[in-house]
This record gives sequence, structure tokens and C-alpha cells, in this order.
Amino acid sequence: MELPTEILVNILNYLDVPSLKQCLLVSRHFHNLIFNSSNLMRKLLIILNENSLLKKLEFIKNNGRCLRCLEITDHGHYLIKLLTHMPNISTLKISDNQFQYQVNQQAMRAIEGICEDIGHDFSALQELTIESNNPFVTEQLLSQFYSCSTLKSFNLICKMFDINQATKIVLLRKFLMNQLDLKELTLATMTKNDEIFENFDKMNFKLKKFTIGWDWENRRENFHENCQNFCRFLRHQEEILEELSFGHCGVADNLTERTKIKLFERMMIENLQNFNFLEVFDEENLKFERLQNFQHIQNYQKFNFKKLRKLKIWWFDKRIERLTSCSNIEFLDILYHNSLLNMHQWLKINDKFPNLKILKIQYYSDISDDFLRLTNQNYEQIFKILPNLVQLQVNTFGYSTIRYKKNQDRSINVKIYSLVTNPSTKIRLEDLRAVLGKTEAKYVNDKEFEKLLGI
Amino acid sequence: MQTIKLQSSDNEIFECDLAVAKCSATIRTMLEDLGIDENSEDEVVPLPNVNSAILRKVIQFCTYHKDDPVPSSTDDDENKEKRTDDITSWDADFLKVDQGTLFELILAANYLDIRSLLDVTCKTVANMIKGKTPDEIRKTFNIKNDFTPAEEEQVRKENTWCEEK
Repeated sequence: MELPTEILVNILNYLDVPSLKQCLLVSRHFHNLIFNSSNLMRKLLIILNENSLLKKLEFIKNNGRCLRCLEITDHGHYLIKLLTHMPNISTLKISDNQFQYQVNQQAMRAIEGICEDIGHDFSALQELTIESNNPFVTEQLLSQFYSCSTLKSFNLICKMFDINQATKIVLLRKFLMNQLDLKELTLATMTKNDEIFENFDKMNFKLKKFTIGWDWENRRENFHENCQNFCRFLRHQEEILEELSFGHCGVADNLTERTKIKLFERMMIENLQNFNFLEVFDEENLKFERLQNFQHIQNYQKFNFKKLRKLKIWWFDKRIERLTSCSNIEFLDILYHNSLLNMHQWLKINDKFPNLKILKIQYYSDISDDFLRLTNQNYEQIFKILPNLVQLQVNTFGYSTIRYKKNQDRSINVKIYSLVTNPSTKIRLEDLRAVLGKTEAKYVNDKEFEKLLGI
Repeated sequence: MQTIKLQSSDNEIFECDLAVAKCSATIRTMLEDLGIDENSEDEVVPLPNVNSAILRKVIQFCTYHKDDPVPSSTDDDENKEKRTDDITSWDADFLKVDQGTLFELILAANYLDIRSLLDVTCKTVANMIKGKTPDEIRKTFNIKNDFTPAEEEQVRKENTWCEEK
């Protein structure tokens, strides 16, 4: 192949890892080409642990300088000594969940044989992830990276790492203070208040992506009122922040898919009362999930929801009245835990949803049927105030029943697809047809429903 | 419509639209930096690294793509997943050429600095590599296996340690 090296590297850059590994076997030239290209080597991850250590040691000694991505899956606090032989590692993940501290003697001797106990140079390190259930190991690791100041991404995932302990706050704060170019930060640690964020507005970095995991279950009672440090930090970051995710420890797995703010977990939204980031909010799809205390909704009146087309609200309540600029919302998904009787009143407030086309209501409760009874009259009122409504879905769970009276002759062009999730749910579709005239009503499953709505 | 004359390495002169020629960053720079007057009809831009057969193909490609938006290159470019399944049918047809021509097109795209042509030709070669065994790759590109059996075995072992990031 008579192509210059830079073009060959460019071509190899288009390959996935399995093909790249095949190319490593083609010839010495190809092998050298790949091992000497930092871009290509960033695709290849080497995993180290106590078991595989001995057989990989020679490889690390000979090729360590070429390696860019390393994951250490146990004894991270000790195995990072080997970084002496891998000075160009740019992505490092240490997931050390073992509580045993001692490395076996054979492995220890082998490491001691090739590693001098000197301070490491982390100048190439750009992405660091520390994941551990052991707070002691986490602290050890963090202190070993103390001199590192080149990170673009730092993820600390340690449920048991109580950053409320003074020494750990100091350690973490100083470590982060050193980072000038950090763009992505994940902090999923045990935290009962926002003390850690004190003076975080003096950080030198400007984040693009920030994920915070809170230990919700162990929060202090007055946590709601004490989020000023956190809010100040976010305000300091809002300039270039593109992605903001909230979760609490243990649900980090469902945070990764989000591209922008989509989920405000539980109490967080009310803590953000002084935070104006949402003024520039232009997401088309918003979910308020499990929102139990929507006390400060008035602070969001100035939010720009004009682009919002889909809104999902769990625990819908009267305070939705205070939301403004919802005029473009076409799809409203409400999970409600109580009577639907007054829903029409909420929906009609200030013609809040004049363009609503699809209304999906889900509710469940273990209280009696009678209390939940939704009559055709209630439906009629909903249809009257939602002139553009074309689809309505009602999902019921638990013991609820929806009943309709037959004595209405209104004809509303509404399709009803009911999703039945529980055999005890009874939706009397015959009655529905009588009420709604042109209605198409049937039971469908989840997938069919999504298909019908085109969502 | 303003035109420009391009001279291939075998001295053939091609007259083409200025907009087409300017798909090449190299030609753009030559016009701007070397003070070649765009309005002068006699002025010829010499391209000593591209022969007439390849230059003809390059002009054909640039004529078709002259109105394409210029792809923005950002810092994130290298981190982006590079796809090879997004070659348009026109480009795929255009690149149904023998391997020698394909490589010459790559070299010309590199020399003339035509990003879109370089990308699509490199993708095409990458597609020729994907899914092949080392031996098939060697055969396709006429590469000699210079590993000793012991070295090859060692690389094969090391390969099992390399995971996908």
C-alpha cells in the first residue's frame, strides 16, 4: 500500500475495534502505525486486575508508553504504581469494589520489581473515573491523583464516600480547584447537604456536563432550604453548561442517556429557585418526575417554555396553574394519584394548553372506586376547553374504574386508546362510544399505543 | 460564470468553474497567497502532483459537490464516532474504480486539500478493510507479512487483552 502514514492512520481511524485488532496482525508496519497513533490507541482499552497482572506485565513494560486507556478493576490503590510505565494514559478508570486491601505476594513482588516508588506524572491524564464502594480506597486514590491538574473529565462514584466529612471536603475541593480545564464532572457520593459546594463558585473550570448524585434517602430534613451553595455553583457554571443531570446514588445508570436537562429528580427543582439557568431552556421535551413539593413554581414563571411541545408531569397538582408559556405544548402526559374530577379546571386555567393535541392521563390509587369516578361530564368539560385535542389515553392501575353515563349525545372527534395493565381495571368502552360519537375506542398494549400516537 | 485553468502533471489543461476549483483549499490558497489573478484568462494553475485522469475525476467530484455546506471542524471532531455507512449513492458510484485509482484519488484529495473527497475515499478504503481477516487485508492491499511466527503469536495474545473503550 503506497499511502503516506498520515492517510493510513486516517483510514484506520474509521475502523471499529475488532477491525483495528485485525490490522494489528497485518504487518509490523501496521502494528507500529496503530501503537504510535494516540488517536487509534484511545480506542483500545487495557484492563488490569490482580488475576491478569502477571501475564500482562511484560507487555506493559514494553508497550506501556503507547497505551492511552486503562481500566483497573481491583486493587487500584496499588496497581496505579504501574502508571510509571504508562505515562501517556489519558483515560483511566479505577473501579475498585473490593474491600481487601492486600495484593497477593507474587503480584506485589512483580510490581515492586519494575516500579520505583516515585511520584507519578499525570500530565497526559484527561479522563479520570474513580468508582468504589470503599471510602478508604476512594480517599487513598484521590490523594494519589492530587498533583494531577489536566483533567477534562472527572467522575467520582462512591456511595459510601461521605464528602461531608471535613477532611474529605478539603481533599476533594482542593483537587477540583487544581483543575483548570475540566469540562465534565460527575459527583455521585454520599451527601446530606451541599456543604461540599461551598466556594465552588470560585472554581477555575467551566463545565459542559455536570451530573450530581445525591444520597436522597439520607438527606437532612432541612436539605430543601440549604442548597444555596449548590445553586451558587450552578449559576457560576451556567455560561457553557450543556448537560445537567440529577440523580441520587444508585440510579446513575439512567442518567447517561440524557442530552440536556430532562429530569428534575424529586426535590431538586425547588432548590433551584434562585437559579436562572432555565431561562434559556429550549428543550422540546420536559419531564417533571415524582415532584411532590412544587412549592416554588412561581419562581419558574419566567422560564421560556415556548419551545416546549411535550410535557410529562408526575404527581400533577394545582400548582401547574403557575406555569406559563405552555402554549405550544401538544402532548401532555400526567400521572396522577388522586381524583381526576377537577382536572378540567386546571387545564382551562388561562387557556394554558390551547394547542394540546394529545392528553395522556395515568392515575392510580388504592382508595375506593367511587372517589375516583370520572363521569362523561368531566370528560366533556375537558374536551370543551381543549379544542385541538385529537387523542386521549387513559391508563388506570390498581382498583380504579372509569365509568361513563350513556345519556349524552355529544359528538367529539376523539380517539381513545386504553391501556389495560391490571385485570381489575374496568373501562367500559361501550359507554364511551355512546358518549363520544365518532370515537374509536379499544384496548391496546403499550407498543401499539406508541405507534398510534407516533411518539 | 468565472472559470479557471488547471494544468495536470502530464500538461493537460482543464478549464473549470472557479467555484468548483475552490473546493480545493490548496487552490484557494494559491489564488490568494500567490497573487494569481482570478480574472486573467491566460493564467494557469499548475498541479504537478495530479495527473489528467485523476484531475478529471476530481473536477467531476467537485462539480457535483460544489454547493455542499462546508463541514465545520471542531475540537470534538476526533472524539466523534467515525461512520463509514453514510456514503451517498452518487459517491459510491463515483468511487467504483480500481484500487490504484482510488489510492491516487486519496493522494490527490490530500494534496489538493479537499476534505470531503479525502473523507469519502478513506471511508471507502476502511470499508474494504472492515470484516476482513489479517490475511485477507494483506491480499487486498498487497502487503507482506513480515512478522516472525513467534511475533505473530505474541501480537495475537496481546490482542486478546485489548478491549473496546
